[in-house]
Amino acid sequence: MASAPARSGQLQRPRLKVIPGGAAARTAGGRTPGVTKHRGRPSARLKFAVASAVMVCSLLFALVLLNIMVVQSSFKLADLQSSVLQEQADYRRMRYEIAQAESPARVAEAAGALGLRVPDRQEYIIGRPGSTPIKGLASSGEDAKGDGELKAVLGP
Amino acid sequence: MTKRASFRLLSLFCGFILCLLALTVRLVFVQALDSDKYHALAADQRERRIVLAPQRGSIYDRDGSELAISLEMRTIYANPRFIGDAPAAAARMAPVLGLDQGELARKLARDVGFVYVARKVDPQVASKVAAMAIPGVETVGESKRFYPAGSLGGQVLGFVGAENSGLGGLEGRYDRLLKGVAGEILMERDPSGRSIPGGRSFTKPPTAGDDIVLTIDREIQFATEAALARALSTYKAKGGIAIVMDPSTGEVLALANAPSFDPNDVEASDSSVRKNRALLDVYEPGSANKVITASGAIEEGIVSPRDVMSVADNHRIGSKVFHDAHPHATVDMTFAEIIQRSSNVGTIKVAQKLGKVRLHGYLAKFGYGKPTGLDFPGEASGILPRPQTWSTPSIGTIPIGQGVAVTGMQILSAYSTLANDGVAVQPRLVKATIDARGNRRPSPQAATRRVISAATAKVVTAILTGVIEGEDGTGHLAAIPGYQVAGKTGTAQKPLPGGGGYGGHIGSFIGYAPAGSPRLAVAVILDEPSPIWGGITAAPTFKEIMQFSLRHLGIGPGPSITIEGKSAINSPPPVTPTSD
Repeated sequence: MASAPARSGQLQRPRLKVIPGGAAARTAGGRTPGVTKHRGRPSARLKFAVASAVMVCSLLFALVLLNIMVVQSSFKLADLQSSVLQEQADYRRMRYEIAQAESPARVAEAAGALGLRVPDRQEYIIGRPGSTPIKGLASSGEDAKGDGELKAVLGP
Repeated sequence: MTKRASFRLLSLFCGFILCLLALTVRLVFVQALDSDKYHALAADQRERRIVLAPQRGSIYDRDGSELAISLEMRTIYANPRFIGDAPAAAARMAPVLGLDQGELARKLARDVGFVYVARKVDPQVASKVAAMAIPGVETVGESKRFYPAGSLGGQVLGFVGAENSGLGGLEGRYDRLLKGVAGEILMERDPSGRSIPGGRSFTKPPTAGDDIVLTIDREIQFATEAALARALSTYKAKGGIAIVMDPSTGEVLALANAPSFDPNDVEASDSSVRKNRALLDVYEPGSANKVITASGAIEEGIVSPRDVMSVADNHRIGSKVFHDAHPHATVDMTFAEIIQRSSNVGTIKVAQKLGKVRLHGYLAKFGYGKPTGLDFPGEASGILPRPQTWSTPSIGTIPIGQGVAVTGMQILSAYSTLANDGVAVQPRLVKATIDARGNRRPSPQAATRRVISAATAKVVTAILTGVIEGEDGTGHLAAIPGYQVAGKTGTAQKPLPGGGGYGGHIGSFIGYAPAGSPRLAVAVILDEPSPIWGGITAAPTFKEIMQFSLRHLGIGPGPSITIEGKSAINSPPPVTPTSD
């Protein structure tokens, strides 16, 4: 077989191998027995590289997801805080409106418009000294004018 | 390679190295030596510090009804330099805001970077303006103070300024408590102003101000103010004050000044009207002061109610002649009658027996010459001259309430001492405070001190019932059907503003009920009423206020206190309190 002329100063050592069975064995199946070609099986290094890449990508992805969750939570928190402030403001506004509606001036005006007026006289029940006081009624001292009956204490 | 090519290559390489070196040096400066400066610059660009205004505390009456509350409003502002068409913008905003269009247009056309368009408007109104999306016009939240009951208790509450700082009244006195502590937000923002999610942020929430619960009863305050306003109208008085107090606790249930003002619209009132005259103004109490003279004389054992004296209608001390209010022949009066008929001559004769040192002592013990201690800014001390400075006629003027000066609160406190069996209780306006977490802290118990004995207080009270019930009493118009009232009328001359004499009168009635077991004390003081007499002008107003207050609080008539029998020269009746 012809070979390229050797470059000056460069020696090429052909690869020599012992083929079992001689030349006949080599041509039979088109393959050289004993010679293993590493086709379809990745090396350990490749496996490690792929695994590492997958792990790193996964970690990055997880980090991004976590970041998204944090951001979303912070938006939600901000919304909730804003809602709380709004509710508090609404609550105060309602208390103000209630206080306005209950103000004595407004109540007096409304009562006057309905024909109500402050009474000129008041009735008191005065019990006998030592009698059991009725819950919610004023009791008198020793100068009780009544004898347990309902009396108009105050005149016109 | 030729030598020339090598040289070029080497030169290129060296140039490249030099550039790298320069970059490296610059990097060292930026990253290491000047790092702080650039870090600060970047932070300054990104970081925004926002101050969070605290919520101002509310003021409540004793039953928890709001008297003062702060609400979130919106302030509309503009950068006129960004407004393209000022008249058009004004034409759109003015009708919504209720502003003058021309004036608004002029404001928006100014060559400045900031103008207020409208401050603290209703949020709904502000949202209408915001919806117009006028370039250069923005809104921001601002708190505004409201007083839901209008002018009720205006001089007591005070008011706040534009920046929500308390100015006057309790708003001013308790400003530090009410205003709270500001918070802040520190956040990182992008160039568009949006916050950077996940960026550095720090929030210090604001601390809301404390709420204050007053001793004031809103309904009694309203009734008192209404009665006072009617008195001013009926008796053509220049002004007036009325105070309602619980003598046993010192709690002030109502403190009214007339004319009043609405703190919701401070600018509509004059500064003289905004003053709390009940605490800041002094007046000469006149005959109402005779109670102090009587208390001192009875406590010292100089007189008793049944002691009889010969009373003319005039009495000379030095160069001055004192007269009773109405001319009369010389009559015999018991001491009780002297007080009930408000005889100046009789009172002065007793005061002369008491002496100026002891009289001064009792006036001081009853609180004259010093503030009551009510926690209100600028409370006046009143005027009580030292005995060493009294002139000869002073022993005639001071016992009948001229030549000394008190505030309305001081004279009512003196009467409350009598109502409280001779024990003075410091008046107070604040019942409790409530912090931002809702913790309620009651005010400390009011300070008390004994002024006169309980027995003397009861005797004086019995005498004072005769002012209303007695045949010749001056306070008949203060009578409340079914109740026994103890009190005293007063008609005092007013000193002229510059001194040198008197002009005008002050009419007053101070009293308490039910006399046998006092629960409420009321003072009514009218400035220049017509007619001048306190028994005709202030007494009916007192009746109206006291009657409402007794009914509102459900206070029954209670035991009575009486002087039995008719006063007589030979067999003076004993003073017999029939209460326990």
